[in-house]
Amino acid sequence: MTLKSKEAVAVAINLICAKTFLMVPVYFKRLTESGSLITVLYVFTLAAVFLLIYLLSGKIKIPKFLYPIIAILMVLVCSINLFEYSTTVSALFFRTTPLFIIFLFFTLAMIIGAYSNIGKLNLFFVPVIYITVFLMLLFTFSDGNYYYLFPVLGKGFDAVFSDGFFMLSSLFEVIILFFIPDMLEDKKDVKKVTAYTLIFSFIIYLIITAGCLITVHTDLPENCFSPLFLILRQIKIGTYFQHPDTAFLIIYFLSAFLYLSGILYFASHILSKTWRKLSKKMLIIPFGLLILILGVNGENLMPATSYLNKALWIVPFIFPIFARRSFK
Amino acid sequence: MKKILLFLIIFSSVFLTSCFDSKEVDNMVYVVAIGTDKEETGQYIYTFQYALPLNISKGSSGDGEPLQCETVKDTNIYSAIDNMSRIISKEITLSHLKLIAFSQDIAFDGLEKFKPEILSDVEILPSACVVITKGTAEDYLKNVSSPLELNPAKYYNFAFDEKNSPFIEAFYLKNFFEKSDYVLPLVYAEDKKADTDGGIMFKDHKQISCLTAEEIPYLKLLSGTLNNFTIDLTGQGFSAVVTQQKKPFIKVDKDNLNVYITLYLTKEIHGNPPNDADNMINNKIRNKCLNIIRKAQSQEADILNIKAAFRPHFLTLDQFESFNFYQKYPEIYFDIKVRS
Repeated sequence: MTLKSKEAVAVAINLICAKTFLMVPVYFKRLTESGSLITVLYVFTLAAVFLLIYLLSGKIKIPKFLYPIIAILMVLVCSINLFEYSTTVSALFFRTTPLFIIFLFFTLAMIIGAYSNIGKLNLFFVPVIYITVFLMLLFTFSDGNYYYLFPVLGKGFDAVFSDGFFMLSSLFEVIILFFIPDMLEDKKDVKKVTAYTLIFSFIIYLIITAGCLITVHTDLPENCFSPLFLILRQIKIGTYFQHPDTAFLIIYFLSAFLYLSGILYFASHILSKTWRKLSKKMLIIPFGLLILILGVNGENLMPATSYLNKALWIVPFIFPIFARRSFK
Repeated sequence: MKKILLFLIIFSSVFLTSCFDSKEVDNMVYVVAIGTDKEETGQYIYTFQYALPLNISKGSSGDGEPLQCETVKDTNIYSAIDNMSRIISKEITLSHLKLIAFSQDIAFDGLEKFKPEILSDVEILPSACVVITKGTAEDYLKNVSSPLELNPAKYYNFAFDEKNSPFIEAFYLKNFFEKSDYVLPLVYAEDKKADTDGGIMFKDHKQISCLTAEEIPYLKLLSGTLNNFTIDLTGQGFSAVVTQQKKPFIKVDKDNLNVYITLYLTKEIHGNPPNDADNMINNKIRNKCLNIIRKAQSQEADILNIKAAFRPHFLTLDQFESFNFYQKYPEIYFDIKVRS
């Protein structure tokens, strides 16, 4: 399957930004306590610098023996996020529904999504998701206190750069940008796709993290599952629109659906490139079931998660430097 | 794409139409207000005021009250809810909760203990109002009535809407996130008549002082939540309706510890005003506002969240923390300008 440049941008944006619905904005907030700009700038500057190297040095070819490792990492990350998505939905909306049914439901959605045309799906739904989020944030920004974006350097350069370094792991999905060029309909659009993806992702992270800072000033409660939900719940438009929870449920589900199916699709795609006999479609169901099994045991994966959070940054930011470069 | 659409249709029909995991309205009790009083044994008395939908639907022709109260003694709100469910044999929902009332005994002890309890329940909307009751919260909830509005949830919406009355500085549950120093409305109800009587000033979630009903409009002016109110200068032969145009502008001079607050107002003067009527109104507003600020300064309660206005003047949080705002807060010189 090939992707048009707009579709590729939508797919990449969703994979990078879907975690804004989970706890990532809270981690950014805790890292700085203020100065959302410095955190997001920091993370994306590094990403942009690396991608600039990539663009300048020509097409980096990741050696094929690394493909299975990347696919396995993707499956692992996907199952951790499946666990987070399911537990969040369960805690916020379906408290009496057995958790396994929610897992099963997400897995089903993920597999169906991966078999479908993910390009068109993302192109249609990603703008809907983020425009809705921005519109909802607009209503909360009016009550927000902008002073909480300051002091502008937050906890200071040292703290942000040393503690925040490992936070790059939460942007593991940036790795998709290395695999999208192969799937592009027009290979000349690589730079355009990369640039647009980074700019839009940066804006989305910036606005959501800023919203988190100016609306929820003190530290979030321990049982907070999604800061975006907490922010959006504060919307009150007149007497009749007091429960924005339903709108949130729909965009949350859509975002989770696109993210999970996207990762499953790319994990299958990457592994299928290793052996010719394996086709992408053959791998989707086994990978989907593997993700379900790992996701259901998500609590047992928590020790692994803490290690992954410390190590995953290597993959998108350092890994390709050691890869073989082919200059044209 | 067809598969996805099919999946979405199935998803929405199963999950969003409440066929699965459904809750019957008849089986639920909708709590609209919760009152908390302190008991000598260390337990709390929780009063749940819930709606009686049948009496509401009968309208004014119905004989019964639209609200009913039940009281439970317990150590925390969750076990109190469990006990209540047992007593009234229906599932309790807090999704329509509009009011959380605490008695003054609890206000003196501090509301911090209740903060995680009420904030952690996802059912409770962040727009629920928090008030302090003169006397017990139980008495207030049993005596409060809404002759003009049978729907109790709507009544609380109107009664505690900060735009409706200049004498209520509404405090919503969501404000607990950002403030530890604030002013809560003081309410009371006698013989089925409910009213407010100024506000209670809190520092670190503990009651420290009171504000009179007359001071509340000026506090609202400072916090930028006032719609309009009438300043009575009948002694001078006129009165003025003051409307707040936009939120006050706060300028901070960090080095000299000066804070300049500019209020943006429009005035409509009635009666026979003297030539300097405008100045007289401005002076009255300025003096009243400064009195409130001085009262708060004397108690070290940063009710206007001036601390936040100092934040942009520092580069890092360490610098901001080492500034030690609360130590300097009583020494800050406030200047208020009124712009029409």
